[in-house]
Amino acid sequence: MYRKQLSKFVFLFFVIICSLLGIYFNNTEKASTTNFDTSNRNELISTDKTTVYFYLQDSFDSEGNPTISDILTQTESLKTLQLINTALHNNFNYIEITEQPLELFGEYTLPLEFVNGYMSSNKKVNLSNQKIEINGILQTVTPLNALQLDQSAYIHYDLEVATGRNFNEEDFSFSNVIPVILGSKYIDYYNIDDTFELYYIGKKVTVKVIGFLPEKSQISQNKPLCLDHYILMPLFTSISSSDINPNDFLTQNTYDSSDFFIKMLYMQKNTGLIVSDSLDSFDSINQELQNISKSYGFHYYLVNPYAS
Amino acid sequence: MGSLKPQYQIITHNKGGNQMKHTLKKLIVSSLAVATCLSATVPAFAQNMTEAEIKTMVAERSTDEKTYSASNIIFNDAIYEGNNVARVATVTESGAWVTTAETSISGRYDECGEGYVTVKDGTRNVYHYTRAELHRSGSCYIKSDNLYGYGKVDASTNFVAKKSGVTSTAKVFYGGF
Repeated sequence: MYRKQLSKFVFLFFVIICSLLGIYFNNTEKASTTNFDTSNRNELISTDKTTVYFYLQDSFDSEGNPTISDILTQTESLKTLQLINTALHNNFNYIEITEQPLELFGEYTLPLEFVNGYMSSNKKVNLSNQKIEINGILQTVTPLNALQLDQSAYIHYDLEVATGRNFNEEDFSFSNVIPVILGSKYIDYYNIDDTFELYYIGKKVTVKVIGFLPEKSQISQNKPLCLDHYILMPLFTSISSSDINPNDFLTQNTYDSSDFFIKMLYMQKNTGLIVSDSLDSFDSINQELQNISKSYGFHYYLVNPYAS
Repeated sequence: MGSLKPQYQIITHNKGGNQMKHTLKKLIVSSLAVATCLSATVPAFAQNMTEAEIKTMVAERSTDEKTYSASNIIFNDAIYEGNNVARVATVTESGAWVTTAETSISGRYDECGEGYVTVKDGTRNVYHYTRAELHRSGSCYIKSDNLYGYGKVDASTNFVAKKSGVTSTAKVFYGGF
């Protein structure tokens, strides 16, 4: 009798252990699955094969190069970044594009397609309504898909609004109210002239809706990007610390937030796209880029997306 | 025979007691072995790691291309930051993966690296950047911008043509101030 009970106990114990191990390894297996369906990204097929885009990359944080920390803390680095930016525009058909998400604080209730990471990971990553603690206060944050374009990129892609107005030259200078153009799917939720508060690289900004894109508007960075669920905002051509209110940052820091903000912005501005009409131009452009790198002491290089 | 039976019973009883002890011993040993195996698979990190070590750690963990949660990863400062006030920050969640897509750049397959990182300092969320990188043959082939935010911050590289015969891996990096 006792042996039977003991056997039952042993049997049950191993069943439980096996089940737990099964659950553990099953979850691990699921988590490691990386074969993401990218149907959303693939539904648009690029037709413009005469234009190629080479990706500009910096070498910060790699061996023998300055770290991000160095760039942020060295006083001279901003000037160098600005000079490099000018050189890029002077020497190449250079366009600036970044996808820095805009953070919304407060309860988010719109469809998840507007949320950063959701579509790119085929709905596997949901970053909406994250509960986070800042300065001892529990807050809710959602990063939204956003695309920042400088004026040359905006002209290059020739984007036209369906309603409202396009960006004009003034919009690319920093102002306290930033004009934005919304993707077509936003039209059910916002109107022209609506304003709302978002955070851009940690800084509070007020954005004002000036227009809506037509449905299925897209830009190509070799691969098309559908803008239906994006917020388009200007990537500023000129901005200085004096333009920025230090109280606009969520966290009060020991460092100069305004200075850091502009440096972070310029690091993003300097990793845009060099537009060419021929793949054969890669080597000559890269060589010219190396000369610029040498002149300013920060190393940059090109990536050819077509190399296989 | 009659005297043997009770003896047998007694022996059996004793034997049962020994068996139980033996089985319990086995169970404890097995449990310890299982617990050891499980704990070995869960990332464990030393305190007071150098920034280089943290960088390597994040890269290596991300190379597994697994989404995972980990706690108690303690280090002196956010990665890449050697000159600010030391603090305790924790990567509470991160993941990295390669997305392969059939289309336009190469006419065959394109790929990009994607990833996300959450960083906390105790219960307080740390403003940080995430950078995704696509690595080939042990070095970075293309990287994303450093994208900034609170909570889980996602980043992905641009797409590039998939190189035949080369396995790419995604890595994810983060930093603070």
